[in-house]
Amino acid sequence: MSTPSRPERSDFAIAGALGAGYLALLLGSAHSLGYTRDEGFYTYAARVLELWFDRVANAGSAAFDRTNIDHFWNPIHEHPGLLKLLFALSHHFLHERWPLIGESGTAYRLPGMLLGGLAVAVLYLWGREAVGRTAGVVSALLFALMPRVFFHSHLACLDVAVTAMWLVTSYVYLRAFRDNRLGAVLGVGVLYGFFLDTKHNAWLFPFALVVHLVALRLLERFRKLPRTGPRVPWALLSVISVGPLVLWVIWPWLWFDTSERVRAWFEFHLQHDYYNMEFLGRTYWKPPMPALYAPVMTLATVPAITLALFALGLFETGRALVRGDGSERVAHDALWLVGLGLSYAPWLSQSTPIFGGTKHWLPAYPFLCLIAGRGFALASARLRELWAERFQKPELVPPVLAALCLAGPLAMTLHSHPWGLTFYTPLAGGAPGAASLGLNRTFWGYATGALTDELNELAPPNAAVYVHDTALQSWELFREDGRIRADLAGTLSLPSSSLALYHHEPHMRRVEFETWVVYGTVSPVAIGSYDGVPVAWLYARDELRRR
Amino acid sequence: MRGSILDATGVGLVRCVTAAGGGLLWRGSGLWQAAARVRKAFVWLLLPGLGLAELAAHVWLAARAPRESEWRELARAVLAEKRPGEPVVVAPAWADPFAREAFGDRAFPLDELARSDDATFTRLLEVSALGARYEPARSWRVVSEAQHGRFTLRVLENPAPLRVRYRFSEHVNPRELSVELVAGTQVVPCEYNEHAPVAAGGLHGEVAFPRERFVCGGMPASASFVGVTVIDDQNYEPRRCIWAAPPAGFTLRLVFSGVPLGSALRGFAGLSYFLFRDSDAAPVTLEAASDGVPLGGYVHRDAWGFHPFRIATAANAGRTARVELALHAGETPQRDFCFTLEALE
Repeated sequence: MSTPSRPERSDFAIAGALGAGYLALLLGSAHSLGYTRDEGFYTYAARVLELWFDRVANAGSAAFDRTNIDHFWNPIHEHPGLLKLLFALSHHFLHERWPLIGESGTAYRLPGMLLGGLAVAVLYLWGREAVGRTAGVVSALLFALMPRVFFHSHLACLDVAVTAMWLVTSYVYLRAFRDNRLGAVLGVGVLYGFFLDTKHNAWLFPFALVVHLVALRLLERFRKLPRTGPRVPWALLSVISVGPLVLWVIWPWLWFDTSERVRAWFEFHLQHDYYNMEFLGRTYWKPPMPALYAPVMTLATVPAITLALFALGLFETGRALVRGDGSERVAHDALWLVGLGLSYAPWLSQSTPIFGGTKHWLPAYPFLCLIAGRGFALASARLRELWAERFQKPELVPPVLAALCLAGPLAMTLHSHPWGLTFYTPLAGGAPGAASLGLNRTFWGYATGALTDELNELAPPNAAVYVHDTALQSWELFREDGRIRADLAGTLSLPSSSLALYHHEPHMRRVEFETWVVYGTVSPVAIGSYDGVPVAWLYARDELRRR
Repeated sequence: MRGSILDATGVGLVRCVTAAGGGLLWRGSGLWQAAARVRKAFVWLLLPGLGLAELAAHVWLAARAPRESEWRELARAVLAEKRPGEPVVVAPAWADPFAREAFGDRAFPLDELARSDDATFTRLLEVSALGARYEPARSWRVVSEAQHGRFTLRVLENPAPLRVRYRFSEHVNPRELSVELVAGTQVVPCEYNEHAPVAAGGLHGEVAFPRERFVCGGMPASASFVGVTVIDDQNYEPRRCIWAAPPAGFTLRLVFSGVPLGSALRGFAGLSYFLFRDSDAAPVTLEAASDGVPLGGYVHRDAWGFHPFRIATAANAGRTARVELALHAGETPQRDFCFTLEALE
């Protein structure tokens, strides 16, 4: 196991290989994953931006006037533009213009996957720099092999993207803060602008940096450590000043009525609608948010070995911070802890609007994995010592230990696909145990992807299919990619449909009851299930039923 | 630290001679050190052990629940045991869709599947997987129990079933029920239609409006019918009931003829819980009368969900009577009231 130090050229090769490997795995498995509700909305916004590309090509600078910007950048303007723009560029150039990616949906998904791969690569680099090479690999793979991360990494959504941006901006910030070179200082400000343009989690980032700076200076003072970085934190000032300017430049929606639109952006998320979420047998739909939601869902969805390594690493990190183990290490570990804590903080507040699932604290996971890397390094070093007392080749200990720690997450992640939101770890009893505990089985209507064969087989020509929780735009992606017959129309009208999908969430059961009355049957004709747990099912009118 | 355990023990024995305290005899020995080393190694080996144990647990748990095909194989046994009026219950409840798919509508008549509760049923057929039990009938007597693959079929007997003489929801037809809207002297008749357009509002819309229903002319669609449908209760469970939403300013009057009365009228009432769970709208009042003589009433508040009520009829027990139900909610619109009612022996 190598010692912590700045990454070498070979490390960039390893990081690239890890990121590219993850991207390949995501691309290779994307086809079987159904399109989620939010993907439908984001790809709709991206399609509108593709029309804007045509306008830019045809009308030149006129495409940038208020009328055009308001028209083409309006869809889903409650989320900033970067990812929608990347989705549009990917689809426009890699699918439409040069058909390098066969499926329209996969082309939209590619930027999200790339950012997932980037997160894995940067995790390795940071883990390598702060802990060591094997620990860096373990950190990167523990993250990649979180089943929920793997699920979200496939999607044309914002959650893994913002996770990657938080990680990358943190890494770049620490280097800029420490080295204080002008290029790096300005660079992190620009990068934060892109982070802001990804998702609103970025609002928390400056607070994280302030907490980090204060903690770092206090530790340096009390532990008599040399100061890291300059007295004036130029990198932090760059983040605060340059970042918002860059956001304004790259998100055209803000070019007009800027203050009003920024205020609306904040208000939308600070006063977000309450979603319904099943948790331990109860559907929560209004405040207070259950305080145990985030911790319990983390325990139930992140592999236990990852959490055990994290716990060990947390102990080791805490000890190092208390002892003041070198200012460099303190700077790394403090930023990890702050990133972790700030990403979880909103979900520990009972007044936070109830959102969906674990995706909302995904930005905490890279830091959790970096700290787990510390735990791995500690365990690896101790076992190596003990091994060396009796046996030959102690250098085998770290890779063998890594393999033993990663085997479970690998198996669970591969097995979870394409049911990422139904997957639960053995701590929750797997999917059946979680269903018995009353934990959410699915949301976003993506499980339609598991019923496409039955839909295509049972539906009469030109039939209407009630899509339930699948967005109509997501249904169009299914059709476009040939996963659902082109003649089948999605509808939100149950009475006019021939077949009806139902995606199970307790509060949505009333839709199933409506189906019983309208179709005159309570028996589904097909069920999409995972490990013996029904997730989504299909109803057919009498004349189409198999029996 | 690299010396053998025996060497170390020798040193320890010398220490034994000189040590004063009994505890020190052991703690000072090399054997202690060796044991400590083993313990230390064991502690660190727990980590890869946990990784492997989690992997094994994952593999076991993933295969633990019966698959769709096993539910299909069970159909013959379940249908052989199924008796009319004896609902099939599934434990764990989340596996219920597999049972419905495999056993079909024959095993799950809607009035049994979406029943108000189990109190009036003499028996249940429990299909159990993963060792789960149907908790509401946990205390019922097990009449028979048979193992079928990974399932257990149990016939459960209710120790004290309520005897029902008349279920109102089975008599929502023009021969036995007449419906009208009343506002002062204004009376709007509601005609029975066997082919009314079926409607359903999706997640945020109205419940399903059935094809066969009484339609009241001149009223908005959502307030214009009486018919049997299914609503969601406070646990988002299905409840089959008579939809009878009184329009603002009207009393909705339902008159059932030939009702054999007994000790009481037992009912449940509610509005779709998902739609009305945070509503504090005016309550809905149900008043019952028999041949013009008031029997009693019930006032329902939205947040209660699907709520039980009882109206004593002991004074009329044994009579077959006309039962009039008057529903009103003042001037409040959209009182999407749905109720069940049974005449108990």
